[in-house]
Amino acid sequence: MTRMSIPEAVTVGLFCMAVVFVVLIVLWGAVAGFARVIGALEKLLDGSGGPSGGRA
Amino acid sequence: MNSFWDAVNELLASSGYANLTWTSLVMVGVAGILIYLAIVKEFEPLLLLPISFGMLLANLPLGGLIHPEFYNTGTIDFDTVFHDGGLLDILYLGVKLGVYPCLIFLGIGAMTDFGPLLSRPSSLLMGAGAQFGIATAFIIAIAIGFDPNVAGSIAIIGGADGPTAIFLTSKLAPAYLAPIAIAAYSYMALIPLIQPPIMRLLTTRKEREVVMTQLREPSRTERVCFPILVAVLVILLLPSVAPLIGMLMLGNLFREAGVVERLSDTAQNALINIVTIFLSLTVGATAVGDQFLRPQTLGIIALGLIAFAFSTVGGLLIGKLMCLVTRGKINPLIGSAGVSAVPMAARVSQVEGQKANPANFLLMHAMGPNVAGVIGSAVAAGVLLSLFG
Repeated sequence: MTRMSIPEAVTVGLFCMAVVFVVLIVLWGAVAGFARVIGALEKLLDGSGGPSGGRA
Repeated sequence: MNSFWDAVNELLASSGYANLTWTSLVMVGVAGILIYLAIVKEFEPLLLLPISFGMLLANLPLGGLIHPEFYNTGTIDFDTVFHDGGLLDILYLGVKLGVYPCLIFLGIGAMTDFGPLLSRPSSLLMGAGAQFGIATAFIIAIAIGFDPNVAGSIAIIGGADGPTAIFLTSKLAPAYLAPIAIAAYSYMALIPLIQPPIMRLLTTRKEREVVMTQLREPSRTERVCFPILVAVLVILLLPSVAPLIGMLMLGNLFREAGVVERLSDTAQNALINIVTIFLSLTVGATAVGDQFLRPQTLGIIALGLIAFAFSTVGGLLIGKLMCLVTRGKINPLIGSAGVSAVPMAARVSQVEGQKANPANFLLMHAMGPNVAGVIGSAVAAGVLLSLFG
């Protein structure tokens, strides 16, 4: 494999971190959104007043 | 009579004793030290003991248990492995083909409670920040002359995740598997020594004293949907990470579904134990003197420590940012748990939190970033694999 210059390495490092942040932020949004949807559905189905346990 | 002495001489010449070299003697000594650390000091004994014994076996000449030279090229010659290989050559195929790390992830998924992460999804940010050491170590490794594929494999030590490090290295730089795996597991065992000074350096006493409010209990539906959601979202975004994330989430689905107790039990006990024996024994066996005793090994060990330290710094800085944004509702100490190493890093956050405020119980709060770090390091490995694989 060919050697890499330091500026290229910095770009790769930043790119790697950026992808990790994007993926985990997308997951954060998805998990939070899903929790709300599931909470609303559960409330609708059993009228129990929200996700089991509720927010402390 | 002469023929008798000839036979004795021939026997001695063909014995392992006559074929011992200084490199094999040094490696036997290193294996002895690691066995001591595993048994007496209890440093990650479940991994270190089979790793060190594998190292011992591989360095006893003429045993023929493993031939690392079979795997140094890009492709595997299965004919040679099956006909001329030893026992550990056959078992090593599971490492080389990336099977064992994925099966270990299946077991980890079945053992992991993602509840704290579901209760506070913002923990994912700390799991991302704690991969900072991967980028830093990569840049330094390139600066000191490592090839990009080797630099990527070394950098992943900063993810503090043994199976991920082995998975990536077996694909990118198999010749460096032994030093990288040993460095990764050794530093994971040393987390209680590495992290606390950095944690105290980067946080104020007031920040360390922050008491966090109790987490809500996620519903069963949330727990069951989570692994499916993560598998679909992450694999669609980053297909190269499918083997690791797919198995991690399958294991977690076994756990949370509640209808496959036997599968969940097998994944988190029998299966993971069997695979751990095969994986660590064969990884240790790749540490043969000629390939292990070279200047690069010292570089790898130093870079691994840098990666660990910077990952801790990254997690703590995101923790401090979240403390600031939430006006003191998040204790930044939980950020350092984002380096994976479940649950050791979370325990360190708990211990440091209690030192500052004995009424502080951070363990469950730290488990959120801790399990987020597992996903984060797998994603980072996927990026490096896509770039250099």
